[in-house]
Amino acid sequence: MHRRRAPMSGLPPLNSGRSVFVRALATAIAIVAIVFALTAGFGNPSLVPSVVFEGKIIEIIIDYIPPTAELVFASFVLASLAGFVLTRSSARGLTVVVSGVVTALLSIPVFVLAIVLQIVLSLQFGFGLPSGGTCSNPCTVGGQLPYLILPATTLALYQLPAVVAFFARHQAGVGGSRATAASTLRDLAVLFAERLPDVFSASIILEAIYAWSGDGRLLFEMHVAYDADKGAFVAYLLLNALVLLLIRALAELILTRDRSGAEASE
Amino acid sequence: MSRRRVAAVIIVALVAVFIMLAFALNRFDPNSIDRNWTGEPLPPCFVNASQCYGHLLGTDNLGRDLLARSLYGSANSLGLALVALAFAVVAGLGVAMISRVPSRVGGFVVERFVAAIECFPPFAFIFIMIIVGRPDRLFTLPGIAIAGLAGLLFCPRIVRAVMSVPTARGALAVVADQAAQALTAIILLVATVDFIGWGVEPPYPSWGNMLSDAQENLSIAWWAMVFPAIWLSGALLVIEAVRRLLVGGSRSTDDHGSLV
Repeated sequence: MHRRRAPMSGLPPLNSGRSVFVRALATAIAIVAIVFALTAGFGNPSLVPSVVFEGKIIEIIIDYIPPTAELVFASFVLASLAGFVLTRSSARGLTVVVSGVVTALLSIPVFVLAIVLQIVLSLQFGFGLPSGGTCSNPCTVGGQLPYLILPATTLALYQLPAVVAFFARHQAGVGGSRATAASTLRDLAVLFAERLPDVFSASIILEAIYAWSGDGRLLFEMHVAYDADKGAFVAYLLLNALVLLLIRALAELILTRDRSGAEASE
Repeated sequence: MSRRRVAAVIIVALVAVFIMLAFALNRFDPNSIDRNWTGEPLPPCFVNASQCYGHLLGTDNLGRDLLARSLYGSANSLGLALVALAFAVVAGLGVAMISRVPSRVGGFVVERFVAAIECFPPFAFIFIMIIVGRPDRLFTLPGIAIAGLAGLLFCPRIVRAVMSVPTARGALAVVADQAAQALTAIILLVATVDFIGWGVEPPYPSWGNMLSDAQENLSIAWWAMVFPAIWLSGALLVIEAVRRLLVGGSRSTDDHGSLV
């Protein structure tokens, strides 16, 4: 017999994919309106040529997105694995230790964490990890991996408290019923989609510290010549907010489909 | 009064005593350079009593007392965060009031406004707004600008809190809880903005700019990074502990509403 899981708290009724589309479209219009209201008079950002990078800014920003996506995805995977292990450990009598780790991580700024890990794991004790940068061309997966470890670990630690709390709730059962592996993965994806703006925000400062050549580093490079590239900043903010909105809309569509399926099988 | 509330009051009282004691022990100006400084940071007294020249926690890379800078830096950082929180609460309550107007269009517009703000990466939003507005017209006071922008970013939490409960009495508790959670997030955000040099203007200290200065001399003066970091993390832990004692439970991390 199919048991329907209770919805997570605070979730409004979602009727169809179309309602998500309409809401996402209206939110996108609101994003554009907010950015233009706050940056009024600073030029049209659409495809404005960048003085610094000698190209169309939208294309440049898109070029820088893959390394950031790689970093964020790797951190999601690491955070999920660590969160799962920690929650299991918590269930086996290590509650105090896990709670201490989570509370400590909540109170440490991500840039301090980055500096400490950089010193401990790279500069001071020489674990063979590069302190920053990305591998130069031609770059293989194996060549890129050492450069990815430190920034991805830092970003994963930043997300760990939320992931541990998530697994703890799922382990206890949401709404009185046990979660299946598929539903846990789905809810985990939704959690990450929800937290993406925060994670992306943290990745910007980490990319600056670890010299990871992604979207965050681009922001700092643009800053060097900000007088020339004001339109580029507006474009950067708009594009990033819209990409994050798109990912959140996709996550909500998954949620809607799953909910509709559960209701149909009732 | 319940035991949890008593414990919260005791924690706040202990913190107040600790801060008063620290101010009483402090004999230095946060911006003045020690005359014994020879170009290298002076160590804390417990590391080298003969070389500390009365600086309990040592000095930073410019010979300025770390205890004094940590104390005044705490005041600056917390002050900025509290101003940002005030902006967030006032804006959040205002927006929530608008959403209560019996108009479907008004409610929809407010919802989209809130959802749109939640899509901005907080750090990038503040960074870009300050860069774009800084040169001449919008922001002549970076501190106030940062507080206002951080307030705008965190007002959706207050809006959602108010809208999630039907009664004013219930709303007060939820808003207080969300405000405490937002305060820790705002402190971290403000520290990050300070860290890259956009917040409290040097030579005035703040947690973020002290940590940024310390980064350059970390191999020879670990204390310049460790003590400001302890102050910052300690403040966050105290706020979180008091919040948990007064409200109970842990952070709600997956109680998401509509994502878009």
